[in-house]
Amino acid sequence: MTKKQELSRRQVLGGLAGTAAIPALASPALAQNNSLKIGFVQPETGPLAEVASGNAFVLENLRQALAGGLQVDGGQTRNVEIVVRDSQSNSNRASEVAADLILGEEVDIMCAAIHPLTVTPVADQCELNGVPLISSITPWETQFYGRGATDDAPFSYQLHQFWGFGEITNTFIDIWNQLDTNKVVGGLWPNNPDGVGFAQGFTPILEERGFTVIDPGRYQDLTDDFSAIIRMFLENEVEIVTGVVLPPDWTTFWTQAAQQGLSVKAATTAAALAFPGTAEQLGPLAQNHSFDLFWHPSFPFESSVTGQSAADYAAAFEEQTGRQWIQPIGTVHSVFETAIDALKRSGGGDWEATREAMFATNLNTIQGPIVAGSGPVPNAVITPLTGAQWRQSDGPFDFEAVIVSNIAADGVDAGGTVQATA
Amino acid sequence: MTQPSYRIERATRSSTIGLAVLGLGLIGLLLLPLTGDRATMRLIVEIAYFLALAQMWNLLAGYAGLLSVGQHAFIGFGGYMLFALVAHAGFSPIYSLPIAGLLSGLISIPVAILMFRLSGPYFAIGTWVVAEVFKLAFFEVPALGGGSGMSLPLQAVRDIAPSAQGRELIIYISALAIAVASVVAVYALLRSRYGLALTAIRDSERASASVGVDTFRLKLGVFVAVAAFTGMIGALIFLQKLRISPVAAFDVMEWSAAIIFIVVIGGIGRIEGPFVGIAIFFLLRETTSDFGAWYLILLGLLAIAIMLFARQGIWGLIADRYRINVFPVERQVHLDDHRQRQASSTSLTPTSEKH
Repeated sequence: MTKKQELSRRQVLGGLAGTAAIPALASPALAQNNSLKIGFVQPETGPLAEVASGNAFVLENLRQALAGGLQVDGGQTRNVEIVVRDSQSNSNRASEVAADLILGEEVDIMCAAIHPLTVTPVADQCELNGVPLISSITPWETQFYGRGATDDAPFSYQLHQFWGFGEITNTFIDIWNQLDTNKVVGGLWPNNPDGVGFAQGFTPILEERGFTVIDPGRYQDLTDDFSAIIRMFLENEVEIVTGVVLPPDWTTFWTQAAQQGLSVKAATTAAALAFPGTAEQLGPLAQNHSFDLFWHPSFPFESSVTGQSAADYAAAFEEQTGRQWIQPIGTVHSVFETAIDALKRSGGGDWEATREAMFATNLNTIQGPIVAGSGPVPNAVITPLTGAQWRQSDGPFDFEAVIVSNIAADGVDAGGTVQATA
Repeated sequence: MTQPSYRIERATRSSTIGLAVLGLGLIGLLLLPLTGDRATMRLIVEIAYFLALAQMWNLLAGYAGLLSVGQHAFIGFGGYMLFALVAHAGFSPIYSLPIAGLLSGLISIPVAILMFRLSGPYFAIGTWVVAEVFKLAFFEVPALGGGSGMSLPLQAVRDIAPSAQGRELIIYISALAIAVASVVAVYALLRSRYGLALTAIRDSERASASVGVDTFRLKLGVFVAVAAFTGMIGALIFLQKLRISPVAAFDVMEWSAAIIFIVVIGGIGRIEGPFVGIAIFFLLRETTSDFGAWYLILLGLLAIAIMLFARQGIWGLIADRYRINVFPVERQVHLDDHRQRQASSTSLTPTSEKH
């Protein structure tokens, strides 16, 4: 009896010691002396997966370029490891994986891209835990005002490189002013973070610039009936339709608009047809559809990590994946350029050192120049934004993006002028 | 003939050992912060709140027979109350947790009065509709971010404790406290006379009403208490997430589906069930969630298999096979007559009436 008790006590103690030992073994303290870790959160799956679909190439390309390590200031050569986590296009999940990268992987710098649903929770976790973050592919206002910062109280750990509502509004207006219209704009702004932000951002600026805005209110995503909205557009003689619309919703709207006799001179959206794949699905109806284009192979910039020009980079993408280039690949690449540059200049020091280096960034990237402090707020740097139209092409792919507005893109050439939609 | 002497017992050998093991486990968890492993602490917080949610749903569905698939209504509501209290009323996040729970309990009273008019599958669908209504309502509240959602003011979170370690320790202890409280509360309730009434309702609502159980009042009490507890857990969840939006707060897949999975797999109508379900759910998630959609398909297949072949869940199989029982809620009669040392119990297992 006594023997049995002793045995069980020993087992219990052994078990406890075992659980205590596991976390000690898993601690990355040793590895950290050699490797620099970059965390990256992106929507690999879920509704936004298409936007992230080029990132496998981006990461592979970077890993090859960094295979020999990174020589940081101070002369040491450090290995660089990119640890990727999937947000599943879900903000709860994004928050969870960001905390895991910070607390579990103890990354040296964080990167996040594509949509507020992924970027915002990551930014909140980084700010709370004091981890430097480079982010992109969501208008900068969603990251600054949308998370509760004010001009007097900016954030301490985030550098966001993208455009804002000012740039996209100017670009869209520049597209419409190239056409002869009655300046009546119909807005398709859904009740999601993008829709609410765009509706608030667009309406006052458009009205100030002499446009009449017909806003049917926030509709729910994945609506199957747009006829009330279309009737309202018809009654008000809308000649321009704009919005930030999910691709399936745009297909529904555009087909129902054609059935009900709504014919507009310009259809200019963010998100809906930003990719050649969705334009192909819509077929000839996508001809001359205009959209925001934040990266194009004709951008006159090159990568600070691989030395590739924008054109070479897009060509490498098409060769390796067999798919047409998509705009996020250049932008995501440049997020890593900024992160790598900050790690290099901080000498791979702690989060505070890297944060200071990050806010001293002055780097030419494949997306254009990134100069910290040059933006409208300390946490944002504005990158070039163009307006483009889909044109049917004889080339290897069905549609080609032609730049028709470069008003918000310094140094980028236009490839044509605006044509009205059929 | 003499009257056979007998005694009534609750604790069994298996329950004594089981409770001792759980107690030791809890001590181990309380020592974990000494290792400074923040990632594991965060995982334990998540396990703790899922355990508490599962215990609450088990009480609701497994005992009171209220098969709600809309408990995420109260998770989201509690989360939103936390954000409102912290951002607009200037409350400390930690003190806001019980207040958020209280408010969730209050809002659940009109919901219950409405929902109790429905029964069976209609009640289940009704609760889901309530959750959707809550979600759509929060879309329309600009002060709480509308459709885009809002971030918790980080200064308020920093005020919990000056250091990140201190903050996480407080949240860790709060989560463990909520999980332990949920188990103790359910256990204590089921051992009280209300527990007997609830067990009777579980086995047959009509029969229990006929012997004088006030089923409406009891069910209302359970619904409101569970809603309050669920709201408090929701507040804790979104204190961890730092950001809330209607879609994230009222996500049926993330909350209700996961909770139902945990309880059904583990064993509905038993306090031990959620423990087993939690272990399986998190083991699967930590090992296979990188497979994306396949992970969800695997969860679904497992749930179907258990529902077809082991309706009492995995703990039901174990408990029936080995006659063990960690949380003895039923009284067992032991006759002191040595010839018939068999134990009879009032209700060892849930009957099959509800299938």
